[in-house]
Amino acid sequence: MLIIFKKVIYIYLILGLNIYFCSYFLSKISARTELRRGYVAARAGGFGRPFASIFKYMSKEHRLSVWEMLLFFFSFFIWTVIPFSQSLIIIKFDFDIIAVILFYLVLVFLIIINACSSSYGFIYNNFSRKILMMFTFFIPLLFCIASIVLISRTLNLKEIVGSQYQYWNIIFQPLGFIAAVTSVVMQLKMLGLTGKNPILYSETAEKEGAGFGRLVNRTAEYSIMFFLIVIIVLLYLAGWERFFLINGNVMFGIKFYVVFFLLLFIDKATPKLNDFYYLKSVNFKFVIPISVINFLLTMVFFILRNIYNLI
Amino acid sequence: MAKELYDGIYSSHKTVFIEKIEKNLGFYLKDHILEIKKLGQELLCAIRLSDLDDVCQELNKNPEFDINILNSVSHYKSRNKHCLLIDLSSVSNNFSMLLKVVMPLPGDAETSQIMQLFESSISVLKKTFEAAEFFSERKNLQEDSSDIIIQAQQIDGLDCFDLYLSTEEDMIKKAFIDTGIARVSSKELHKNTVLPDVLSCISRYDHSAGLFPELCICLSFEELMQLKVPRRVQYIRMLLSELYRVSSHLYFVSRIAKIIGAELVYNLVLLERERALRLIELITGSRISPNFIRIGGVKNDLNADKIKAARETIEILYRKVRNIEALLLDNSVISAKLKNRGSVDRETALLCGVTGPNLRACGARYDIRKNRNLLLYKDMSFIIALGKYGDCLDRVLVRFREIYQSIKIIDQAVNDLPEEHIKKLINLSDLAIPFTEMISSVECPHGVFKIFMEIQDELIQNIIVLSPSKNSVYLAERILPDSRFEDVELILASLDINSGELIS
Repeated sequence: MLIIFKKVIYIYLILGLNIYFCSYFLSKISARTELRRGYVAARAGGFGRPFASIFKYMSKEHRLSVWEMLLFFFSFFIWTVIPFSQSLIIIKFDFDIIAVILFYLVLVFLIIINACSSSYGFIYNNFSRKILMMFTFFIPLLFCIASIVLISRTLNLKEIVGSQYQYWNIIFQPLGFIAAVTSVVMQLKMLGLTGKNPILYSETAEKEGAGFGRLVNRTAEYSIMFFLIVIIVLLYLAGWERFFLINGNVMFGIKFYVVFFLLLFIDKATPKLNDFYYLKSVNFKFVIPISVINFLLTMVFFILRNIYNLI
Repeated sequence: MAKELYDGIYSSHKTVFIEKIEKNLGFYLKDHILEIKKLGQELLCAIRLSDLDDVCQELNKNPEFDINILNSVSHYKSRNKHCLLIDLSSVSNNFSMLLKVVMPLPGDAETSQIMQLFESSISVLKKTFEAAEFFSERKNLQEDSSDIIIQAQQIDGLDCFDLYLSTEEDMIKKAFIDTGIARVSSKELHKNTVLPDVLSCISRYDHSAGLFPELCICLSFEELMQLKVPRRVQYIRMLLSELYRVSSHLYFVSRIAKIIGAELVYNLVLLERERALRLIELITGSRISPNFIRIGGVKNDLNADKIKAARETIEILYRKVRNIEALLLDNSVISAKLKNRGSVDRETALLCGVTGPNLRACGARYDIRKNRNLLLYKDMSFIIALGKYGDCLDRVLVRFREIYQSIKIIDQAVNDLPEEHIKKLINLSDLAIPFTEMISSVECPHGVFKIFMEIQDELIQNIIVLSPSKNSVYLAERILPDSRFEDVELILASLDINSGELIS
């Protein structure tokens, strides 16, 4: 029991620290790319800015809805099945990748329900479209996960990472990696994470007040973003596998931040994506076909190697 | 020297053409016309309300006039008589004229009577010009099209009208724009004021390019007094006009970038606009309302420092704007967002009376800098930027090309600036002006900006601003149906509707 409690503290400490660093870098880089002064104005004091924001949000009055609370807790439950290292995982079971997918879908569903709380019809309409688009952008990610499962022949994330001890999956699955990254970028764009306002609050913040709820939502969003990044790192970039002399845990951190900055720069280089017809065409004409082709190629490879023993 | 002598002796081909039109009008409509005047390169015809239908039919059907565009209709009171001012133009024959319709009403008539007669004259106009419906009272539309109401100030930069939309799912079926919130009676505002007072505040009609209303008023006075303005003054005016055009177009690009979500481009464009505004400030002493143009001259001459600053600024501006264009339009996501949104064909644009870059984006070659002898643009080498499909992408592209052409004109103006003394400015209080009507038009960044004035004894009796943004609003009402709700903001911003112009 004590071990599990220790693990929980470790995991949430790591998450908390990363949320702090990411929010700092996000604001700093956003300000730089948009030619704003940003935290430069506060100099070294800028490091304390995320804390100041937390206190500011906490001190404002805000009524939390049930859905917001559920969203907040679910965004943390998702980390119970995701391994951070060989031993740092709270719940161990063999099909954890399926649990991860289910948790994520529930999270997205909760976002829809939360959007219903808005009294503005158009905003609800807009939100529900966004969320439906997010579901469709999850389809290529599912195909990519299926391909990885086929080549690793396991549904356990720890074993998937372990199977990459020699070669990373990105070498075997370059098409899958492209599809997965595109899908994640699109989902992050739709969530509007790197913008000034997060998705759950983007259009209702000024009208319905901002306070502790904003803090809750923001944390939930970071949790979603981290989940998507960690999935890419675990599936394609060999997670915590050591790299020559570099320690595995350090490598995990480096890979996480490389993917984070990559996504951030892609996000800043592309305009706002609120054109659903354009997104639909990108998804169904580019991302899904690539992921399907990748899946079929993997399937053929799997059949030739494991059934006919040709490779 | 020889050129100046030639210009003094012979009228330009445009003036000859206008005189010919004047004679034709006198010939074909001699029974209907009360009075006909040539005011600069514009014509003013006074007619009775009962003759309105016949005159419109003749002007529309006679190939010698071929007037097919109605730009605006406004009501005003002149010397105790109620009149209608109808602005008409012909793109094929390249001229415009104003119809002054005298209404059979006493000076102290009630508002309801005036409105009734106004509506009846609009219904007469509708037979010939479809665009006339825009100027009638349209409250019934407001009640029909109210699925979604976007009130003023809800969309960035579009704070001068309420938008009523009737939608089917996300497709707009009907749109109505109510500009009532922005309407202030300019006629009463400037009544019995002296010209210097008007000149100092007229730039409020165009907050993004405040020089053009001033220029318009001064040009009309110069035309009235047949003043020969020094070439150096004309060059300085052209330089400033083009600088304001660049600034206004950059402001337009920044709005588009903001709506699309290209934050980097948005900030970069505003930085470049700041560069242009600083040069304007250096020359005129002010940024938004310059109060710089005077009758027969300008407030200050350009010294060597200002010329040097202008040379340096335009060089940097050209480079930076090229980069911004590449950043904005080489991005396939942005091009896809702008392409095929709010497309307008040439005929629709002409029918709505749209002028300026919005018309040129549809492929119509109409720019009064070239078509008329405005300032000394005939000395400058530049081309008219044209689009093809009339969509949002074309409107942005046309404005980018106009920025390059403006920079080219500024470069020529700076390099060829004549060495000449600016003569003493005219003092209006020395002149006894009888009751006179004046019209003048300039090509402002949003289209053809026209001012009609009545003056008597140095006091202004009436000022009517015939602004291009009103026609853009009408065009927006025409193109918003059958477009998606998400594109509303983009389409409205791409038409560059200026709130200042709607005030009148």
